[in-house]
Amino acid sequence: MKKGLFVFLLLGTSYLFGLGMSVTENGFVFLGNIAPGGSEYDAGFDYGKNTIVTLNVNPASPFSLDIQADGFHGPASLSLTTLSWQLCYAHAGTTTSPWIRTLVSSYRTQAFNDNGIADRIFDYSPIGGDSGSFQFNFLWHIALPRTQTAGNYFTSVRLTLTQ
Amino acid sequence: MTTLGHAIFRRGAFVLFAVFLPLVSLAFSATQPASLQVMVSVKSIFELTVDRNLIDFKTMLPGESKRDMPDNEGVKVSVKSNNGRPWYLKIGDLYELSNGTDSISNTNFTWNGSPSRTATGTWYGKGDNALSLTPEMAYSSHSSEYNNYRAGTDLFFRFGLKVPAKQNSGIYRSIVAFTLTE
Repeated sequence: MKKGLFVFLLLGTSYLFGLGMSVTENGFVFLGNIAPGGSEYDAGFDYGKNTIVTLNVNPASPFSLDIQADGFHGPASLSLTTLSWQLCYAHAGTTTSPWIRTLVSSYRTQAFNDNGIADRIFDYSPIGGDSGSFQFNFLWHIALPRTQTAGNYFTSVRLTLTQ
Repeated sequence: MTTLGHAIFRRGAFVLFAVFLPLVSLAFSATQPASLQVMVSVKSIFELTVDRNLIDFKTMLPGESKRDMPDNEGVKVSVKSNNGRPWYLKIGDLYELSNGTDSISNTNFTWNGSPSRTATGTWYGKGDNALSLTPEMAYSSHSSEYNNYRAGTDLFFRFGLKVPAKQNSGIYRSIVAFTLTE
């Protein structure tokens, strides 16, 4: 009885705390040195190089991914709506299942918001065929106001994985 | 408890765990955060432009004076900045009007003018001001002009010259310099 209870607690703990997420680029993206009024698509990267987010999840259970950004810090105000994200590629294990292809194709440029509320990137329901780690590639775009004050501006983009 | 009782009890406990585990899972969903620091650098724009590079007083007689040259509007000097910091403009000449041998004193070479109607800073060119080899204040920005990009601030300068009565003939030249400083 006691051994069974111990095993249950061990399995239950493993299940609840096996979630993981990692981000490439050492957690830092420099969008570039941009003139006021200028914009950069696929900012900060050479062609083909993206921010890669890898998820460690249980593919047999639903999960969701949210994204939001903190307000810009800098010499003057800069709205978060000037910064956008785009999901450009994704795969689960060694295949790109139809739901991922649909997810990627459905997203164009999505601007961040200034209201402090996270945006839901997707809700995943288990589909046969997805296995291994989930990987999502992000691009970042920025369009500066025409009269933006010079200087360096910083924000923190936060991803939240829930399962 | 009998052996049968133990078996029933263990099976019941297992069923209880099998039911309880999913319920616990549903009640205690886990979250995992990750963050990415993002930086963008906005370029500095700090520009000074002059709409012409020559003021020609043409031919003047000894003792003759001319003012408000080159025209009633004046030379337009435009300042643009997005640095968000105070700035000021100075005016001076690099050397007195000279033909290579003789010179005309700066006391005879003057400037005046006005800021544009939309300028909100301080204009220092009230009346006629003698040019100086040491640059002197012409305009200082208002806080609303610390970032005046893209419209900028326009300032208009006009020049006057009195040729002394005993001035030797010749072609006299000088260079007027505008200096923009933060």
